Amino acid sequence: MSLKVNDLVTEFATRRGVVEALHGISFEVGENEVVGIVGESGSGKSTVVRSVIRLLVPPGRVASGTVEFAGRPLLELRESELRAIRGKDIGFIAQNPFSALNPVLRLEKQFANIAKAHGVKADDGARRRAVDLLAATGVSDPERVIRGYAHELSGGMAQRVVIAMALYLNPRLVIADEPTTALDLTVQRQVLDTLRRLTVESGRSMLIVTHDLGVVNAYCQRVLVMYKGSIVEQGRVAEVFTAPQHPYTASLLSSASPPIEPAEAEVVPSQPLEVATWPSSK
Amino acid sequence: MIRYIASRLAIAVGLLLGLMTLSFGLVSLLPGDPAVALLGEYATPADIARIHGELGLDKPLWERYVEYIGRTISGDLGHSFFTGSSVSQELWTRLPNTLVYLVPGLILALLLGLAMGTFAAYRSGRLPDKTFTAGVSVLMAMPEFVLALLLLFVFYQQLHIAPAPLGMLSSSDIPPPKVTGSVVLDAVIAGKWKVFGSIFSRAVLPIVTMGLFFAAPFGKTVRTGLLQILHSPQIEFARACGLRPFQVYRYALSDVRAALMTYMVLLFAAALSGAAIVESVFSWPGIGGWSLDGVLKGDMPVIQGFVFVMGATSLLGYVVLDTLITLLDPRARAVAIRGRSSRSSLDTPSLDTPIPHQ
Ligand SMILES: Nc1ncnc2c1ncn2[C@@H]1O[C@H](COP(=O)(O)OP(=O)(O)OP(=O)(O)O)[C@@H](O)[C@H]1O
Ligand SMILES: [Mg+2]
Repeated sequence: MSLKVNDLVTEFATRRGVVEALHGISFEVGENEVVGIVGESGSGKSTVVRSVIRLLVPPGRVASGTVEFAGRPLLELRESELRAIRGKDIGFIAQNPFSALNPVLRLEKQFANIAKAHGVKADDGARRRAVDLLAATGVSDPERVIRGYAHELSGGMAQRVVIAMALYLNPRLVIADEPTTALDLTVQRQVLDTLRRLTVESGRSMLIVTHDLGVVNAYCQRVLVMYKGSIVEQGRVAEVFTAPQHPYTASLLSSASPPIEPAEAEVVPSQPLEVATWPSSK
Repeated sequence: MIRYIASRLAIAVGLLLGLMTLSFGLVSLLPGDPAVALLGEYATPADIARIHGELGLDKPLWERYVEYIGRTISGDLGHSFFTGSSVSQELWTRLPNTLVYLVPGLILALLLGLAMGTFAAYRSGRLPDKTFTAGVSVLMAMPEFVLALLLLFVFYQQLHIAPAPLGMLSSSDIPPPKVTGSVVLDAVIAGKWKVFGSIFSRAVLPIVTMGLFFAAPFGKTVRTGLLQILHSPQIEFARACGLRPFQVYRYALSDVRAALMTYMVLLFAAALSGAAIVESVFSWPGIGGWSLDGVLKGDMPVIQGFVFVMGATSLLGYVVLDTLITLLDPRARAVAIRGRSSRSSLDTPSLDTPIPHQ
């Protein structure tokens, strides 16, 4: 269940002609691996994520390249086939929970809609799983929360709800685009810990975009460094951070505060989470 | 909840009072003497004084104002200077005639606009969208009466499938027994479905005129709103969760709902006050032609009554709508009911397609 991206080129049609935003990008996310994407603003991190699961809207468009997930060529699938993969096999965690959640629907309804979209009956069992998942992400009083609306939550709680929705159908791969940037510093860490617990420690893979090298250092095994639409360096975090090969990586590291102490992200094995089980029969 | 609705009602009453003042002020302070209009240019001063006395125009302004407010509240909008008929009675019999084509016309505009705007938004930048944009520009540049005449030319003159634009009933229709005075309502009350059908068949072209005319700006509003939301993080997340296209569309619509409802009420008000044009073309006995006549003759009570009733209808529509929108949106509802502010902002996207002038 790995993700293989090969020579991906994405372009935007603007008034001043076609602008290439990604200039042929290749990387992999292996089984049960956490890969971080770092790079300055505008370097194309979000564009990578959107291109991979085909969330780009015009004027953006993938011009060439291949994306392979679990052996299937994502860029060649029909829209309906891809839709069945999104949310079910690949979960997506948005940057800002308040702009991602539907403001006028109760959260339980939003969970139910996700289930229905994938042919899962939105019955009591499905609802109980949503509640359990909310509890597992650290939402207090999940029974009350799920009956309410997004605006009643704090930022940290809302992002936990988004995480629960992304994990609802037990995806193998989770893609997160700056999942904690919109949150208070104090809760960023908690949410990231939750995310790690529910993804890599439960046997999933994760591709996480961040501009925080500390996050990469603490949570990722491998890192992609992006600069102006290209990956200028990629490798194991410990190696890249101790001996950066590209000058841009070096400047990124030297400008980081506090300075990064290279340390292999250790995966603490923990008991498998019961929430990760979902009746395999539909 | 009850306190919230009560506060809305209080606002409505205040606005109505303001509207009465406005409709009184507009007409009373305008130049032009109704007695002269009534008697012609060669009237003697004595005659003019007599008419002034009859119409109460010799009293001081504030006295007339208080009288006007009192009468209006009791439902009496005065009598036409020229025909002597009761303005409220005229409005009551004519308004249903107007609504019988105006409401279906707006519903048609809503459906057409929603369909076209959605199609254009989903095909944004491609041929269907460009066709839509061009079509909207043409329709919006076309005055309503040109559209009406065009439809008449094609469907009456050339294809002979539409009835002649000679009013609501043909000479062979037997008018229903008089109960309310409004032919439409009386036909429904008496169960004369043949008469009602005849009215409706004559209303088809006015309905299509309204439908096409208002579909253009409405479709444009739908397109603008949908384009905005389809590029939003909310829809991106919905798609990333694998929701089906129709579910995604419903999420998007629920976001532009408030803006569309608001626009619909604006269109209703615009359509109501602009009914004169369609009604002149089709010789339709509604409020439009009647009020136009009143304006041309300087028939003060008719103008006042028309301004007041149209204004009041739009106002009430607006207050009801505003309350509805608030109660439909959980964020706004929380603020309105408990009086506490919520975390997220409440701004609905502002969709600024201008209301067409007629
Ligand atoms: N809608 C668009 N139209 C035109 N160009 C775009 C559009 N979206 C992105 N781009 C281009 O793609 C480049 C990469 O944007 P992207 O959002 O992927 O950057 P990012 O690395 O995610 O930045 P940030 O850290 O600010 O989120 C931008 O520099 C911009 O030139
Ligand atoms: Mg980004």
